Amino acid sequence: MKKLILILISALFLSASPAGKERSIYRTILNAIFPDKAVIHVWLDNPKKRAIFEKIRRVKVVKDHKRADILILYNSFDVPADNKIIFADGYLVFEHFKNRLVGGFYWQKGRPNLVFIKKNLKDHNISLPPTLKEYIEDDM
Amino acid sequence: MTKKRISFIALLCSATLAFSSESMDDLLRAFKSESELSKITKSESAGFLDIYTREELEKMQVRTLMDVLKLFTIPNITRTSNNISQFTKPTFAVMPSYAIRLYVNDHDMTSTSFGSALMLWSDMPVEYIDHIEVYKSASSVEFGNEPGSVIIKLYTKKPEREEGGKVRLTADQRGSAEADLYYAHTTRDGLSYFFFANADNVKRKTYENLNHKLDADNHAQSFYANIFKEGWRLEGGSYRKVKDTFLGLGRAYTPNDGKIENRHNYIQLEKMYDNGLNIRAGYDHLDSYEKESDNSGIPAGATGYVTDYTIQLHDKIASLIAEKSFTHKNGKLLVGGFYKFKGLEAEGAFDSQSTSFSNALHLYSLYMEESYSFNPTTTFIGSFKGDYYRYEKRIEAKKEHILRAGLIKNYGPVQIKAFYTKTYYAVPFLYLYGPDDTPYRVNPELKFPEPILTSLGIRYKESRHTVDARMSLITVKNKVLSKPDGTLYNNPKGWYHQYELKYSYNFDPRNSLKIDLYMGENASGLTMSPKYGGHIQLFNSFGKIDLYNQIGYRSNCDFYGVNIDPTYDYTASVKYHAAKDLSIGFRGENIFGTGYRQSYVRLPYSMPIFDRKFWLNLEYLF
Repeated sequence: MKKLILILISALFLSASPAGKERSIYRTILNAIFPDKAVIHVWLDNPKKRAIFEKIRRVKVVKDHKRADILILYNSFDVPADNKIIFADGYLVFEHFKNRLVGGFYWQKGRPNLVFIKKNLKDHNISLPPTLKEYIEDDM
Repeated sequence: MTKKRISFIALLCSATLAFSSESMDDLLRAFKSESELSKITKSESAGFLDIYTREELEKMQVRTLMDVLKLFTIPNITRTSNNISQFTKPTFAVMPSYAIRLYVNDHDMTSTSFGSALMLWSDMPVEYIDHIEVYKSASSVEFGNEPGSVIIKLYTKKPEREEGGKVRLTADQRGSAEADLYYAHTTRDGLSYFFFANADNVKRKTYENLNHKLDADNHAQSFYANIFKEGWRLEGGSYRKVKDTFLGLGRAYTPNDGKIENRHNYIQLEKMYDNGLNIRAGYDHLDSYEKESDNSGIPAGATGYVTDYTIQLHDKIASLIAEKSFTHKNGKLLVGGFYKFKGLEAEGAFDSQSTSFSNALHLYSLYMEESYSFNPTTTFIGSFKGDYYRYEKRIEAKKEHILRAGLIKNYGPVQIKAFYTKTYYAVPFLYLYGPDDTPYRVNPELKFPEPILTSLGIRYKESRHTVDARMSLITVKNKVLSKPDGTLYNNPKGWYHQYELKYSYNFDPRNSLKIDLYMGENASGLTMSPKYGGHIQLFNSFGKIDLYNQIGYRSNCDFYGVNIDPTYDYTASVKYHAAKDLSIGFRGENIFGTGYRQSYVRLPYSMPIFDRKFWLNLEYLF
């Protein structure tokens, strides 16, 4: 019984923390990019974010980027030139890869920004749900 | 059965959390709110804490620190006859400015030999400030610097969250204008930098007294920059302000002329090691110039009353601070020490008399603070600080110390904080040393005031409601007072008590309400400043519009025979976000002209502290 109460308190606490909110944001993003995948393989270059992604349902964090469905990059500017889907977790990465990444979630101008790039989404045959349409930009 | 019920509730809650239909806009807003830097920087153990978040400051459309100081419950802000910002505690005519310390990041801005640099920095622009923390019933041991009981901590915007810049232009109906610019960037190799520049020209209402014009206009320029890499932070700033002297210092307040010019430049290098060691080296240079002219006579200490009065002060401060925090399984131990050199040079001309002198202070300090958690709900705080003051001329060396004990106890939604602080305030040595007794009748024998603060606070926080009740009893030994001829002396003992009641309610992440009430009383029974007061603040957002409403109240008081009726200050602002990066706003201050007032010795009436102003505000992010 105590364990259940602890789980409940932890769930409530995490939902109100920055990490909890960031998890909800990434859960929405990943579900929108991969609506039909049973398991989404994610590769991260920022080990501090691992705990956030590991607790998202359907997401499996992989160590080998070749096995990943999506690369979430914070500070990597040199990744293999294959056709993997790239999503930026930092402004500098977003600027660097904006010709090929599908979007980014990063701090800029004192606020968190979520942006998807229309042309690159199209290149990967990704169609976002209507709830995220307002975050799609034609050109950066 | 009970287990089944709890399982069901847990499942229901988890499901609610997992599948909640928060829109992405709501999620981003909630993430921003939960990521407020104040949630990282605040220290609950340092005293009673009030926070002004970035979102609040932006909705309020504050321009200067003064717009926030106006909202302080205790102490209250007012202005002196010569147009310098000054604080009062409820019922007191004045509160010593050296009891209040202002920090920008980790740098103490108020470390001067001639009082407090707050008289300059109270008007500082805050566009480069992310958020403001105010600690009351504090001792400053935790912040590793000179003593004060009210600590105002300003934190600059973080480059890694800005990545870009902002231009802000403001103008008011009196012809005032102000421009702010900042820019921040982080490079790929982890070096981040931030710079800020500001210039303003503020016109204030002109009054008349006995056919003499009373001007209070001012203009200022300021600059701030920081560079950060791998635990090293270099930061520095410069602020210059020139202002008219309003009523001035003359006996009948009939100024012919008057000007105050202050300039403060500082630089600080800081290294933060991963093992908790922090080393800071800083250098400050302050210049203060005041010129007054009044035929009714300006008191100038032993020289008597003069018509023309000029004083120039130059202050050089060098400091080296080292501290280390040791984290253990039950809390944290902070151990630190610092050395400060303060050099003062003064020159003055008082009609045909002149004075010129200098002195220097070497200040050595060792301190430690333990935060020990007996269990997850009970934390004990114990602090000790020993200071040694050695002056180069005439003033005897002094040994002082600070003792502080505190307890923070949580009972579910209730938090209780209790503090006992035995501290002291260092008297500026311009009041201790001056070979000609001009312009002050100095007293090298003055002892430092020694307040003992006993404080109790109770916070109830549940869901969207937060209630704070605070009370403090303060006894002060050796308070510094001045005789009618200007001679400074120590009052053996006095006391006062003060109370604050605060309530806040968050309707949702974009709409909130704050209410505060305060009262205080001193041993003399005199009410020379408002005994009661309070504020109501309402923050709202609808679509692309931000709204802010603020009502302030201060009760009546009697200042040397002049009765000041209760005053009400209504301030409001509206901001329209025309585009993601462009907004236009409007802020009205003291809209009904019924705002706070102050009287002065021998002046038979009171004067408004703040003007009625309407500011137009244009902001562009790039």
